[in-house]
Order: sequence, then C-alpha cells, then structure tokens
Amino acid sequence: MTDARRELVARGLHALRRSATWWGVGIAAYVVLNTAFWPSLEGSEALEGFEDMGTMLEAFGAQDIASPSGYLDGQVFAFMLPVLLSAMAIAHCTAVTSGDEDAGRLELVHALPVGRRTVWLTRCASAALLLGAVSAAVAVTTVVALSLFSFDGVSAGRVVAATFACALLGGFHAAVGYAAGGLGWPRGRAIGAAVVALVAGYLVAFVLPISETFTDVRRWSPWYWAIGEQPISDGLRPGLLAVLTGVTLLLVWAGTIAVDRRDIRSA
Amino acid sequence: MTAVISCDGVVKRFGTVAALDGLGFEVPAGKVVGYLGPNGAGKSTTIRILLDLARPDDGTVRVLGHDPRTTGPELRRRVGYLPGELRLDDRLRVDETLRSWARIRGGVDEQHVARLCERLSLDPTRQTRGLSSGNRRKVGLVGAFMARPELLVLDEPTAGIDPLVQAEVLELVDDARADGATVFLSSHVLSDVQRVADEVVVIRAGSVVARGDVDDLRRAARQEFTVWFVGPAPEAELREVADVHDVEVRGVEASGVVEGDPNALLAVLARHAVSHLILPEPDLERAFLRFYEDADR
Repeated sequence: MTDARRELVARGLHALRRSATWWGVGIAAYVVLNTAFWPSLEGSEALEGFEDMGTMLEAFGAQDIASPSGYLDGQVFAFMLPVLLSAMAIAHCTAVTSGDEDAGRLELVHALPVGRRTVWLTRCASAALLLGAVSAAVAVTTVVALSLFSFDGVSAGRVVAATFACALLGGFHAAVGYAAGGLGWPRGRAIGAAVVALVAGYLVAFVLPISETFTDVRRWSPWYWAIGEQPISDGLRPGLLAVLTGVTLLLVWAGTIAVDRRDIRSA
Repeated sequence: MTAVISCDGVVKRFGTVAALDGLGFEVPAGKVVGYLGPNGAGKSTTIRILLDLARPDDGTVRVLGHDPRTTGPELRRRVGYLPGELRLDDRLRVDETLRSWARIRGGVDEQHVARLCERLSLDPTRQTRGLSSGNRRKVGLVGAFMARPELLVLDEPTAGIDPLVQAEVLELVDDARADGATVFLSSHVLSDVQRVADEVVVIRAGSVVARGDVDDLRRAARQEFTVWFVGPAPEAELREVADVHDVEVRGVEASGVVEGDPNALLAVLARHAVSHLILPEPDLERAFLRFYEDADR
C-alpha cells in the first residue's frame, strides 16, 4: 500500500474511532445482557409459552426460543445483531464518503495528487476495517458470555461465523449507502437508501414467508443469504455468503465508478 | 510563451443555468494572473474544473499541458490549490492536517512548511476546530504552498486574513513567481490583484469580457478630473478634447471624465493658468467596473 493510501485509510479510521468504540461497547453490552438472562429463563414455563406464538416468532428467527441455540438466534443473531451492525456500518461508511462530501471536506482531498477512486475506496476500507474490528470484539464477548451463562451445546465456531455473517450483511447495507453516495446523493438520502434495503430485505426474509404463498421469496433477500433463518441453530450457507459478498463488492464497484464520472459537490 | 492554463470554449451548465458559456483564456508561464468577476460570474466553477473537481460539458481545458480529467493525480502533484470555501477536518490539529496533506503528496520539505507557518503567524499546534476563518485560510495557504508547486490556484487567498498577514500572503505570491511558479489568483480584493498580478482576466456571466496587462487595463480606466483655473474655465476647448466626456463648468471650476491617455487634456490645460488640479491615479477597480457598465449597455 502506498503512503497516500495508508494515510487516507488512517484518516478514515481516525475520524470513526470514537464512534466505533461506542458502537462496540453498546452492541457487546446488548449481547451480554441478553445472554445473562438465559440461566434464569432456561426451562421456564414463560419461555415455553412463547413457542405457542408460532408464526410471530418466525418473524424474529426465534422458532426454537426455548433451546440455547434458538434463544441466541431469536434474541441476538436473527434480528438485533444484523440491525445494529448494519446501522453502524451505514453510519460509518456514509459519514466518511457522502457525509464528508456534503461538509466540503473532500474538496481539498480530491485536489491532492490522489485519484477519486482511491479516496472513496480507502474511506470505504476504513469503515470496513472498523466493522471487522467491532464484529471481532462482539464475537469474542459472545463466546465468553456463552461460557459464563451456561449455553451448553452451542458451538463457539458457529457463533463467531454467525457474527461475521451479520457483519457481512452490515457491509452489504453500507455498500448500498456507499453506492448511493457515489451517485452523488447527499448523506441523508444515501442512509435512506440503505435503510430501505435493510427493512425491505428483512420483510422479504422473515415477514413475507410467514404466508405460505411467499415462502420462497426469502431466497431473494440479503438477510437470507447472510444468516438463513436461524444462523446458530441451522448454521450458515457458504454459497449464499459468497453471493452476498459478490453483490456487496458489485455495489462498491458501482459506487466507485459513479463517483469518478461526476462533479464533486462543493460546500 | 507556453500557456500553463488554457481554456477554450468551456461550457458548464447546472440544470438550465450556464455557469460558463464558451469561456476561453490562457495563463502564460511564470506570471501572476488575476481572475476577476462578481459573485456568480463563474470564477469558482472555472477553478474547480482546472482541479478536475467539476467536469465541463463542452470545450477544452489544459493545465500544464494536460487534460485535468485524464491526467489526474500526476497533474495535481504539480499544482497547489486553495479553495474559496475551505472546509478542514475539525477532528485534527493544524500540524496533523498539514502532515496528512504532506503524506498524501508523498512528502514535502518540513522546514519549508515550518517557515510558511511562521511567515503567516500560524500556530501549528492548535486544534482546527477552534480556528477563525482567517486562520483556517492560513492552513489552506500553507497546504497550497507546501510542495513548491509549478502552478498555484488560489481562490480568495486573503479573505478573512488581517492586513499585516495579507501583505505576507502577497509576498508569498511574489516569491513563488520569483521561483518560476505560475499563479492563478481569484479575488474580490482588487487592490490585492493590482498589487501582485501581471495580467488579469475579467469574466462576466461565464464569459471573458476583458483580459490583458494590469497597467494597460488601468490606463484604459476612466479618470474623473477636477480643475480650477485662475480665470474662467475654457469650456468650449474642454468639450472638444478627444476622450474627454461629461464636462461640467461652474465658474473657474471644471470637471469631467477622461478615458485612456490624458495627454490631450493636459495640453489644453497647459495653455491656461491653472490654480489646482485633481486627477487621481486610475485603479483596477474603476477599470473593472467599466467592463460591467459597458457590458450592461
């Protein structure tokens, strides 16, 4: 990596480091709080009563909530962790791309001897590195929490893999925001596009399939590609993760090409 | 002489509005060229096109002999730029900002950067967030000059800067020219342009309305004169002088406007006993305003 690229990545990391720290602390706290409840809920009638709700639980990937794996799916991996990691990734990626362009901070950077594509890709890389770092911290926290709170039979490897699958889903949504920013959309609209993709993907993966008519539509959702229905209980599908990775890279490529073909907004 | 900047028939539209409408001019090597025009004339749009921050809809642009669109980073390595609307990263200190730019440039002479900070009275240890607009502009100026570029593109370099440091900024421009650099300087402060520029380009509504040597432009300016004669003012003679207009006579006092060379007027005055004469030196501002008055007619 050249000095210029290293510097651009370092600046992106510097800009996001405090925010990433708080996101990491918040997400880890959420995981710890939810896993800490498991010993008192395990085997309780209240939890088994939830299972009567059937289709409602399917909407949150919690069909098997009375088991350790099903509880983790429903409380963490099938809804909240993908949402939280996606929110962080969208916020970070758009902050250092379209957000900095809105603020006029990219004007001088683009006037320096470095290509537009490099500027945008290095900023995207900064957000991706922090997404990876926060996900690693969350994965370690979760594995430690499993051993502390009696999640017998849950594979640490599957937890780590599911965490990074959620991070990949976050990366996909950040790439939607990045591509929108690359097209010249201001940060607010870029975030809006990413959130629409997030919500629509969730509805297609978990809500529409509640109706038997739409059971098969979930295969078109990035959520399904990333975590399936119950990532801890059922495991992941490497082929679909590869599809999600490919689509994410395609979005990043499209955003990068788009920014190279337009004017940079002035402050 | 080689043109460092060359624009030919440049058109840039924002929706239905043409910000640049067939703009054409050249900036010769080793000169300081002032780029003048009112707000909205297209000055910043031109500059952004030179830096490839904006893309023209039509026309040809060459900077240091290259197309900014296709040459990109290699070209910008030879250019120092100060934007009109300077937005710094408030999360950094001044020295961190300057070091970051230096690293992206592939390294600069740190002693030169320190000297620039000293000359501009800029404290590099300060946090960028709390800087006044003038001090922010100084950071931008250090960034523009730090790599001793072949071409400096400065948009309003003295805006918001106190008068003492303004003089230093103009000294920096002089020094850059002495070192062989070319400076393209956009400014509303006509006295700055008059003080430092060799040539000016005046634009209006996206087109060049005048260009040339600063002294020629000043000579072409209208000069208002007032003269007091020892006896009655020779009204008929004054009205017949070429290039003298708007003559008014009130007893021994006569006033009017002379355009261009005042020698014919002075020859008439020499034939009469004059007690007092006011003929102020023409300045660039008058010349500048004239172009707009002419264009409005």
